[in-house]
Amino acid sequence: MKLREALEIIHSDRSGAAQIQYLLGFSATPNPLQTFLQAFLLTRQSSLAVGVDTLPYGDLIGALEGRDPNGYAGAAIVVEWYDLDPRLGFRRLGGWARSAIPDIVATVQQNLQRLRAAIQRLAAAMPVAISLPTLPLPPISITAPPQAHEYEAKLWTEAWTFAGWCASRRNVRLLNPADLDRDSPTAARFDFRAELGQGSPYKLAHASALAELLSRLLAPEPALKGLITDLDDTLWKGLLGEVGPAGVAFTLQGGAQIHGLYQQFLQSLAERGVLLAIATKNDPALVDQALARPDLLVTKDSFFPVEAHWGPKSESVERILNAWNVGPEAVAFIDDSPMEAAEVQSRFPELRCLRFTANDPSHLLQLFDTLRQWYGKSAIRAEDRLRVESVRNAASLDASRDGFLATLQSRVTFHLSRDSGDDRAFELLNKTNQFNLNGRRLTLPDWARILADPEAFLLTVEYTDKFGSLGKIAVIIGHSRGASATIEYWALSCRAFSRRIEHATLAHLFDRLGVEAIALDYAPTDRNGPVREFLAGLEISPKEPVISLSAFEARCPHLQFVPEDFPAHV
Amino acid sequence: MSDLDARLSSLFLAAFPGLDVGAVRAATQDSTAGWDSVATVMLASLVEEEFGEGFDMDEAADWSSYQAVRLSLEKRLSG
Repeated sequence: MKLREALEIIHSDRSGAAQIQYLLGFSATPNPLQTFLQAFLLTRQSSLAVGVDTLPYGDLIGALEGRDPNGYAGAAIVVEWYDLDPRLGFRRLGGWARSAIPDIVATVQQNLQRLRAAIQRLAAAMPVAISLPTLPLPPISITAPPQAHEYEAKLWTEAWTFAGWCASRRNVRLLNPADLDRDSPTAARFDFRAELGQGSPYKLAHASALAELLSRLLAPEPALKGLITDLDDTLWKGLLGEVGPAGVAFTLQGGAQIHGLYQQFLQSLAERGVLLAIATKNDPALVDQALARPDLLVTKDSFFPVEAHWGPKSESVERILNAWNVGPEAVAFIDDSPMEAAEVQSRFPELRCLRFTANDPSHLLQLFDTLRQWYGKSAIRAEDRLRVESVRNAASLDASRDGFLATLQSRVTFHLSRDSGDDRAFELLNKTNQFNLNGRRLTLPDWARILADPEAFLLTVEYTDKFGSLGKIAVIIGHSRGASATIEYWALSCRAFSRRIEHATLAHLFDRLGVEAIALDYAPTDRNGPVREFLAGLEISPKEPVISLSAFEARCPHLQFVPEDFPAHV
Repeated sequence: MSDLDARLSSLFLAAFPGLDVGAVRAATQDSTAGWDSVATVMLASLVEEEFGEGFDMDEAADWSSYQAVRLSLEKRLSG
């Protein structure tokens, strides 16, 4: 991004938009990094007005230690070597004598310890994105290039130990140096003149690249949920109908390594909770045999559903999306045939179609990189891993809802609290579109602020039945005052539809809160039709969405069996 | 308006969004809201990005008006 473009984005009219504030932890002159970060955060969150606060010049760690983390949606911390010891910069003349090196290393160790404590405190309140030193070390010790000196190795050891700690902490997102290296070549980062002139060490292009990556860590795109793949000349080399299940290849020996690597990647996605399905024009019996090959690098049961027939692939995709209960915008389709991809794309314009190019290995690395961007998440939760199993189970249930409910051996567990540290609940609320009361999203500071109110409540719901656990599948935030309560936020995972969990949830709230009426802060959105249907089923007016206990009991007779079929454990 | 003026004016408008389009060439540090030392650093960065010419802060310290920036830039560009 050009600096001028960044300024134009910042100065664009956002009147009326909700304001959120980020913190930039950077000890040098904040601009232009601050400007770029603000512009990228605005671009990624177009419905919000975004501000970026900075720290006083020259003391990153001390300033972070003294900063109140409340009120921020996130923090970007940019560490350079001079933050860990000023002698590792160019604006202080502390001496580069050989005898100073042990003390420099010791100082870096001490300051990294302080930095850990400061980050831990900030990350308790908000997501923290952090980048390790991006600029080269100064020539403290003279070794002939390209030989590295012992001191450099020691400092990098300290930095990488610190990096390992960061990457393992909740709410801390470490910027991958490899991604920065790709976007900003190391030799073109340092602006020595600007560093000496105004304490601004980055070339504009480097500041832009660094800001963009930090913004992606702080405001990531929602990850895609599913991937639909072709088989022949995609998952393996060869046409199954011609060479048979034993003839398809996916190894180096068969000249088909690229397909084996693709299989490995899919297996990795499946283990992270990504839904996988197959759309192939093939004989289903042959497909079944080929997928059962024990040397396949992605397991057969990672795929559901498997659509194998001779009809259009768009029909397969439609059935797969229905089975998953996922919209096309959350799914990618991969096929070696441009014609098939075009046919699917024309039917589902929002679906992301990619071509598998088997004769160009370099293409595979680009494909992996794209998929990593689409499916990567900052953390994998237990619910992500349960997703595939729950989709498969839901599809095998009796189509008759009442019959199905009666046979599920359902167990709904409610947790009523004001726990603002519940990451899964926060994530669920902010990513659910279909059963979402009003489509409103919450920032972490707002989440914490609402739950700090003594009259507020947070209800989370977990679900298990004879087919296994769906994990935490619903979150409700509201306030209870006297004989009435208001639900302001309510999201229910699409994986848990058609089980009347929403009805059981209302029943539980009436019971636990001891209220006579519950109001719902409902607002229609383009996507929340399931909420509208739920309200209609209980005869709740969307214009005045309130229901009394007596009306609820009268209109929801199925809940008479709640104590038996929906035992609530609080 | 010369090409240099057109490009430089657009940088001023990016740096100072409150500036009236017709008043850019008469802008001075005193008459322009938000034109402080931080804005001067930003302006120097914008000029470097647009014209490929970097200015030290010692040089940019004399940028008290649009015309001063223009003169400084013109000298540099003419070699």
